[in-house]
Amino acid sequence: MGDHGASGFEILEHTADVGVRAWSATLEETFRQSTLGLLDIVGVWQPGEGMREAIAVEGRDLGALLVDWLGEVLYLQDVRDVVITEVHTARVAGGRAHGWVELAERPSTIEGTAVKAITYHQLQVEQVADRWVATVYLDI
Amino acid sequence: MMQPREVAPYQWEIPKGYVEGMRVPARIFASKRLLDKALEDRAALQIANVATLPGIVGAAMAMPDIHWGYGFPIGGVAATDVDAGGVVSPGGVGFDIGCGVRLLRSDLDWERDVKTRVKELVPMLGKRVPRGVGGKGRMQLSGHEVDRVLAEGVKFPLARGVGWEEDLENVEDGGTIEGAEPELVSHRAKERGGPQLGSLGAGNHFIEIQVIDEISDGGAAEAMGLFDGQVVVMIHSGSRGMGHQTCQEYVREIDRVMPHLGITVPDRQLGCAPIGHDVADRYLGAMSAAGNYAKANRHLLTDAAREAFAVTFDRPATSLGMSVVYDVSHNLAKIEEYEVDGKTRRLCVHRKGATRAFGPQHSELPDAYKPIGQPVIIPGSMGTASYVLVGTDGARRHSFSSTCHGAGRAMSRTAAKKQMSGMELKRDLEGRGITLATSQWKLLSEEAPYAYKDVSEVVRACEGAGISRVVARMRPVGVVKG
Repeated sequence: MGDHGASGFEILEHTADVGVRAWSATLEETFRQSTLGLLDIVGVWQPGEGMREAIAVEGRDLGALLVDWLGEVLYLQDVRDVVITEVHTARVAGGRAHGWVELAERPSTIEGTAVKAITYHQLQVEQVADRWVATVYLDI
Repeated sequence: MMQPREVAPYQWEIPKGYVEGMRVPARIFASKRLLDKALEDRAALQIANVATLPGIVGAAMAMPDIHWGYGFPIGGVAATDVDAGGVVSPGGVGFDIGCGVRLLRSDLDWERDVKTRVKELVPMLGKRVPRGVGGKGRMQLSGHEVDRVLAEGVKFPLARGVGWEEDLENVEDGGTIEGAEPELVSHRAKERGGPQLGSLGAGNHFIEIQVIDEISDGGAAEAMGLFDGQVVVMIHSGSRGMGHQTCQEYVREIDRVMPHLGITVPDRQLGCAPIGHDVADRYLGAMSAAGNYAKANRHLLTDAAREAFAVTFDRPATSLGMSVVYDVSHNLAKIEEYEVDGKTRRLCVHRKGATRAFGPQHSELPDAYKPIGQPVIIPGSMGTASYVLVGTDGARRHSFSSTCHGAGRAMSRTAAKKQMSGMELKRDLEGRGITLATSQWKLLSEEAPYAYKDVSEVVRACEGAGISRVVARMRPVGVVKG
């Protein structure tokens, strides 16, 4: 992970499911990178123009906040049957996270893996040296 | 990890104390080879973690197809004492509430009737089965009708004229799980799952056309209407967004409540609450409702299969003998009675990637199956064998009437894709005479047979441990995947 730049994400192997590890100097960008990891797996990340949809979640700690944030994105994507064109995490602090995503019409076929849900398994959001690192596993 | 002790043939025990807070030992049903795989994986540690759940009795158990899950391992079974502080854990059921398998028989013989038509039949079926990421299902519902599916299960599509009245008889719980409470399923879950009724989903879900190529128990096979060379249809699917969202929301609520209940668990995904507590009881009502949705979903996929056969063979499905052999879930928690320390106790039996396997004469079995025990449908990996087993009295004594649910993964999806591309796998399967319909080739190899354990070894271990008996083996000839 050290050589992967200041911000980014990587997909973690798991026997049945799949994990995302994301990192950045700020908590906000770490949440955003985690979201990009989720969208990459589902195959619905298509940067461009879209309709803005606000997201605001509360949680008892950073891990719960991340699960809820990703859960909101997954819910929106699934219910609206859309692709995501932008992710913006405005602020993550004091047990709250808020920001927005942009949604656009999906093409008829999507190359991706359906994600059922976001799990609390081995969930971690922690500060390591000068950056925030988040680990989350997804059920597929 | 320490080496578990073999306490009986195909039964290995991890003693209390291996993980801090274990209330009972953990027991793995497996051959030595399958056990070694579970030890390499983190699955053995996960089943030891399950043994810490409040109110757990007997042992935390893992079936031979055990593999690393999230919180609970896949293949995990945990029974908690409802009347002695036992908990329910939504993670012990999993996100795909009610996921399971349905097997349809037919009067068709592979060599005589189907072999020359399979290349028409598979795309015909593929066209009728909505699948993959997103998309709408075969039956569109109004808000009120979504609640009826959640309350009634298979009975709702039947009332709408989909399927045959006799189908109910051979669906676990007679097609409807009691205690389902549609109002405890959130608006969001209904919004996510409502439009998807009658769709396959992605991942490991499939519909396969299979041929019976070995009968091990002639009497039981006859009771189920199965014969050598017969064409059957296996449907593997679950509760789609309805169950996923329901589980997500209750795991979240329990994660918030648990610190106030004085319960600590070694993995947050094992979050749980005592049965009788408001959130636990609401979860059970919502879980049962999502379980009903899963049964109704498989029922609508059955309709797609019957339709595809009827069109291909230009005969009504009734005249093709396409009855339901059985439909059983492998992700559910159920309240069942067992003897524990000489007393009959009401237990909440969590089965996550494990199949209920009632032995002969159980009161909940349809009359036709009382002499033989409950049919257990075991899907293998794509391109390998699948099995029909029956439950045994040994399962009641050893594993809270539970057995395996499939082959069980042995390799991550990433590793599986590296070994072979989707197109290579397609050619390989077609070279072995299997016709495929899939919505995307790129990801096909995530589900490659080599990514799974040997299903034959898994069912042999179940038989060796006495928790089920093999009746018939099938090989696939047509596969429809998400």
